[in-house]
Amino acid sequence: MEEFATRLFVLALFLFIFGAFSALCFSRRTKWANVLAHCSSSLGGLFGATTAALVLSTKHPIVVTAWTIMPSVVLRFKIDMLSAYFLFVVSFVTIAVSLYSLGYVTEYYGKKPIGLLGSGLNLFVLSMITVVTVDHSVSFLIAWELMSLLSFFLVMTEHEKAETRKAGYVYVVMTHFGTVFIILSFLTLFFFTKKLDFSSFGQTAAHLPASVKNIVFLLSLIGFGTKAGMIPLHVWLPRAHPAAPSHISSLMSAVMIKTAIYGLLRVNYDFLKSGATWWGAVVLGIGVLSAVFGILFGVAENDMKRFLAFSSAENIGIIFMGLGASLLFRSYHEPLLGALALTALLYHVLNHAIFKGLLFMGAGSVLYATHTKNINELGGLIRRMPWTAVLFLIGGMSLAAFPPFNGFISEWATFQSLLHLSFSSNHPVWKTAGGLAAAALGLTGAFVAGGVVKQFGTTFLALPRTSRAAKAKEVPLAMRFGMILLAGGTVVFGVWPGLVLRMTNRIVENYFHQSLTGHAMLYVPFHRSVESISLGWMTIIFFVLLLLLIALLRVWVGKSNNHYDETWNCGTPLVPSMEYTGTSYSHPVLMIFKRLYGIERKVEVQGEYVYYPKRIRHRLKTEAIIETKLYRPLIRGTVWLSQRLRAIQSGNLQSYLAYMIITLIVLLLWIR
Amino acid sequence: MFLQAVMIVLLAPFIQGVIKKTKARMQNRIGPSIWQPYYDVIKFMKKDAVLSHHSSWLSIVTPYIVFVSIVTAGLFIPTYTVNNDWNFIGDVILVVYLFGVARFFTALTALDAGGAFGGMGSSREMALSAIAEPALLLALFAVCLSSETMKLPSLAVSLTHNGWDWFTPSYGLAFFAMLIVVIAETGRIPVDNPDTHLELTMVHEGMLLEYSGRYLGLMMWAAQIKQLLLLSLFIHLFFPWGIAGGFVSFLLYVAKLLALGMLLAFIETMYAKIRLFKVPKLLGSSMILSLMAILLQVFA
Repeated sequence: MEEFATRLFVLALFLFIFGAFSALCFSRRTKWANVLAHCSSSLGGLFGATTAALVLSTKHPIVVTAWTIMPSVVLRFKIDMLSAYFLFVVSFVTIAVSLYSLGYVTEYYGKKPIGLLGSGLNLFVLSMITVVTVDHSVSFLIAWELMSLLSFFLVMTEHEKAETRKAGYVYVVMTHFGTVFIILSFLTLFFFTKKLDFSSFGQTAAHLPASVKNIVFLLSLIGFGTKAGMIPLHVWLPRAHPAAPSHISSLMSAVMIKTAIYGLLRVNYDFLKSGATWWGAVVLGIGVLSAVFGILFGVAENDMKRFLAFSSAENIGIIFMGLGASLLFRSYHEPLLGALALTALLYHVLNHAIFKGLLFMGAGSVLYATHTKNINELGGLIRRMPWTAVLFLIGGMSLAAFPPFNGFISEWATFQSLLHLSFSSNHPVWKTAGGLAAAALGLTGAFVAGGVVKQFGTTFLALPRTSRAAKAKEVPLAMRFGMILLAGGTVVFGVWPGLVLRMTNRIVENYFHQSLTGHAMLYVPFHRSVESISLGWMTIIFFVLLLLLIALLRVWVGKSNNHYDETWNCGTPLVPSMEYTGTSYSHPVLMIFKRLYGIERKVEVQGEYVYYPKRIRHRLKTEAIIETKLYRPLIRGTVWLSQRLRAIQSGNLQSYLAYMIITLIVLLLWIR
Repeated sequence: MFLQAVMIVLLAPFIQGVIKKTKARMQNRIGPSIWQPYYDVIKFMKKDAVLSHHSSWLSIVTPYIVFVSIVTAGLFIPTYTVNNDWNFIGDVILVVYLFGVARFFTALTALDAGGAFGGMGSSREMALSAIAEPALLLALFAVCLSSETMKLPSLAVSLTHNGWDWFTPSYGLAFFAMLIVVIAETGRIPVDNPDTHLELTMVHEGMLLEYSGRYLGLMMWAAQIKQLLLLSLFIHLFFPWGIAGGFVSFLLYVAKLLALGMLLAFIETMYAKIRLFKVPKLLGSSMILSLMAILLQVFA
């Protein structure tokens, strides 16, 4: 079995390489390049997912040595339980996205080199798989850098737009900012362990002095947190994700940011193994901030993909809440609760990958059909694109954590972790903090629901606002199929948690020596009480009641007699400009949280008499306060400092020689 | 289980009728009969429905989903008896999110016909609910903190067994916090006016404007059931006496419901509706009360 899994994994890697090369070779023949690239990547995804499932079910890690350059320099893949879980997440989403891409890239026929795009996608997925499976810090960093660069190139696909170029540059700067911190954290580990491979880190890092561990933790948190898009390091996220082609943004948002979670888990659970209490508190705090602010900025957005990008920051916040709670439980030696929190976060990693992938594909379908992602130019698409509408609604409900979809079950587990943080702790601070964090999670959930209603309602319901929306047609079968696959995932992983728990349990067992399982329900035995949830049963009850209601109404009064007429509009005929727009929909929220959005509102009334105006101009400007209040001063400071430093750059050869001599003297003095 | 479903469905219009009657008497009106909500529901079910040309299948499906979601949520709220058999399916978080499903579909379908009134109600509802939800969770948490579970049936048991005392200050604060949330969630004055169709003030009614016939009937009935459930939740958290089961506790339960309903009617008569943008402050004060209740419990 082990050998079979190994072969499958190698086959998957080769399929991605094959996809990349064949797409390049056939780049003259657009159609061939498309089919070759995306079929091999979806097959590769299938094999990758199967490998992961095999490893997780047999509990035997597999090791593949790919390339021995020197005895100490080896490219080796080692798939242990944690790697296998993330391999599953990456591969599963890749299958769906590849199928979707088959249809989606036809949009770029004749405009962009399809061969390059397809080969980029294959290599990007390959680099992500490498990131989560290699067991050496140097190979990890190389793969990490490749992942960042490849995604940068893919973001720049539509580089003729100035907006895209700007987004790309912000992204590439931010991702390298993060990488520096990751390199530093690995170097710190190397400095103390004298080895570079992960297994040596795992053996020795746990015994390092507490101060060193703190440094490693903080460096890795900043480094990986940047990639994950935690607030306030999220600025690249709402820029890069909308700028990239939709199938790429779907991969980036669903999967790429999860590799950062993988890194954090690897460092915290495999290397450091134990840590100070404040680690958990810091991560939990960042999680709450990311979740609440992420969605608050998100609901104000009228660009579908920007909303989804902000909601990725919010979901990373929820994952961080689980991580923070599990780190806290680890330091308080509460293994069962730690296991629950770790399960919650791992489950949410998978769930977010699935529904965010689905939603980005949905947004991509709308973009494909109408060529706009500004929801104020859309409307009425539910009649023209019924499949996309239903699939987007499923994704949206899962995003808003509504039962029976999968978003709910992991959010419930996070809720329980936070609540039991306060129930189990004797410390007054944690007792209060747990409840407040749970309330923040509730706030987040309600805002997401509002955001989804706004996005779905303005895009898909009522009358089309422009001719583009009126002429929209349903997207090709391949695109629908990719979305259906993930929509199926949202239902199955929601009502049948046993499937996922079997996988997460392997990881949880390793780190907490507690088993958290369930079949039709998520079931957590506690010291004093038993918490459980069964969405399967809830769904059955729901449908039984629904059938009873329908049957009762049929028997009692018969079928409803429906007539169709105009929408009530105070007697005047309804025109699209009368509909509520996305802007007006989020207006109450903007007004309630005025300070946060830094709103500038201008109303100009023209006409002789104020009550009978001839014309009203209404302008609403919001500013991104994190950028103006945090980043701008930083940038200004950096520029100022560089300008001051320029004073010594005189361009005069003598003065440079003088600098060198001064440095030499100082060094000699220091060494002596 | 299904007995409870039938009970809450049938009892809900009665409570609504009593509240309306009480309100009418306090305003020196005769008011409609307390059975009027039943006549309304029956009448709506038999009427033909008028739908908008622009609406989609959502307009037809939503009333059913909303109604059934709320009844399903009702199965996890103990009323006059504690049924532990179905305890494993879910807890109060599931209840909150099932109410969320109902609200989500109501707000979504309000945009379906394209009228501005629907959008107005929908956007207000979602903005206010975003603040009401953490307030509800905090108030629940303030009560649940001592019994260490979010399972409602276990909550009553531990509340009554652990020397439950209404007169602890923490409980009193949580009581007022929860009362504010119940008023907000049932859409009553001072948060929303259930009797008006004036576009400047309406929230929930604005979303129901395009419904008619059976669909309107289901939506209104669902709102009444939700009101009953929130009152039951309130009763369960603060007055869980005599929940042993049986006919006597059923009568006691109805009596408690009526008392609470009259209290709501009283508040509604005494106060005027406040401005929309003042509502977050009201809910904020509820959150601060809950927080104080939690702090009192934690540090005492």
